[in-house]
Amino acid sequence: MDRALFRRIVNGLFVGACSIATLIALTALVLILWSLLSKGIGGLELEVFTKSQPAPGSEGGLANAIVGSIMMCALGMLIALVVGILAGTWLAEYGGQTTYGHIVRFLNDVLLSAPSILVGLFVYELLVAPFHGFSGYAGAVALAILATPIVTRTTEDILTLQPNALREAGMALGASRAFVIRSIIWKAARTGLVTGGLLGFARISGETAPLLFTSLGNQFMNTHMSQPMASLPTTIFQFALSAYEDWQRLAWVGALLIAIAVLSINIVGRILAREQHR
Amino acid sequence: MNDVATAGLAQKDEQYMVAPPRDRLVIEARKLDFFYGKHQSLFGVDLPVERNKITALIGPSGCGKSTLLRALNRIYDLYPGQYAVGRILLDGVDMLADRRSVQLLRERNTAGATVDEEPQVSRGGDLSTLRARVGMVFQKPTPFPMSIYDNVAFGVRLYHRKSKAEMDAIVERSLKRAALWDEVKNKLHTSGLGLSGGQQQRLCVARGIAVEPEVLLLDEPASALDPISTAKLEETLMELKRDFTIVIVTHNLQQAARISDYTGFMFLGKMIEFGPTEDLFSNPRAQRTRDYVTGRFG
Repeated sequence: MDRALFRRIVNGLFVGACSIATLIALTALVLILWSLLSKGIGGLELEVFTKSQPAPGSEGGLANAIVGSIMMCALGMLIALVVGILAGTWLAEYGGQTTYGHIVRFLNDVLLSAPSILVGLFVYELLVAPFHGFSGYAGAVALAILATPIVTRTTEDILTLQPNALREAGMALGASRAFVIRSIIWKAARTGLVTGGLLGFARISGETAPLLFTSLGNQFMNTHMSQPMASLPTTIFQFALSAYEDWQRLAWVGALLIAIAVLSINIVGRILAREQHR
Repeated sequence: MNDVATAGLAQKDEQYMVAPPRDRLVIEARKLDFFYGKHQSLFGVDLPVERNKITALIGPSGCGKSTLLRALNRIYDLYPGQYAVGRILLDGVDMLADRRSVQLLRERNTAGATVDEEPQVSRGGDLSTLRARVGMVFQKPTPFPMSIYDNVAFGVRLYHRKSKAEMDAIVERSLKRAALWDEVKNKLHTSGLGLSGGQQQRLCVARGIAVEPEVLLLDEPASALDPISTAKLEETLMELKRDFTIVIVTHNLQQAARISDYTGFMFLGKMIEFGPTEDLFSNPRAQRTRDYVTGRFG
């Protein structure tokens, strides 16, 4: 066979295979988004945001779950960002090559893929059982434990990518190591740091299992984090399993809300990152 | 060049030094050894640098010229495992006078090599002060991710509290001396990363001289620049030597010949020949220097 023709055929087959695989992956995504939209958008009314969850058969919304989710995710991300960025910085700039550094990195990688239900049980033992009560704080800590390794990992990776010349240039002016990191390296790496935060948030915003053991859920509006707290994932879990049609409809709305939140935060993050990259 | 004294001559493997008069030196390396972990890359190097002159370091890749430059402001301290043994005198004060360096030097002295006087621990090795007095510009431009103004102000802010007006004046003066002012005066508050490579390098020079160092070290500052930017940078350096002392590492022999007053030729971690640039290029004494400057190797 003609060599050139053979190459064209092989090339065509390969491109075709890649396209089909992409199509399969995208189809799944489109189907998920479509079912979320078609089943959730109908119930997306103002009441969803203003009223707390209803008794079966009566009017209501998801306000308590939305507020609970926002509060626990926010506190969880705050803890994860502080701990994760500092830990990642330590790994990249100070102790990463020591034995202790290697151990920390390995354990962080283990934690990165730890089943979330185990994290929930751990926090249950740590913060729920000893204090005889489920609480929003416990939920936030469970979420923080899930997000921290992601932030740590991306922080270390992105700081390692910063050229040594930049560190040397700062030190050559007489700045201390810590000052160079805070005022130059973090600034140069902020795009990556934002990405790490977004990845962490995306991970925890839909987590259900760890919250079942920690914040439990709450059918009433509650803004005290020392009390059991509702959250979107646990409410969806509860409503989707129920026999009531209006609860099931609200579960779809909740799922749609989570999807929209993750999507929009990702988009905002990307735009911010691009702005800073200019 | 009749004020030049002949300091030391031909040691066992051809080493020729024509040093400037001692009272005109600003920074000086004496019998400096340098180690990357177990690997020794400088062997008893002497480098006398005269005030308000440009001193060039030349030699083939890996000869230790960048290492020597990086030793002069102890930037290697950033990396564990790298250390220098010997003396680095800045205005006569030993900058390698911290406890560890002195101990290493004593060990070397007892091992046989002699040095003029007994080393003493002193505060001379304070790194922050040293680096304020010895600035550095690197091979690749390293603008910080902040505005042009903040880049220049960065070093000054480390040492002094200045009013806005004072800082404005310092920034303007530094950028003018680095011959960058006219190109950036209307965009001082835009990112330094938006400048061209040549402009970025002159920004780094401006940042370095804003803290009024005595010595400016340049590590192949033009190797990433096009010929026009290079010419501009060289012009800037010629201007700067009125106020500063410059030590420049370069791969470009013509550049060394064009701009420097003294040249040191290094080979395999040793200073083979040091002297006035004209002499070194037109009448090299060491065979190795002759081979290198005539392009026979390297």
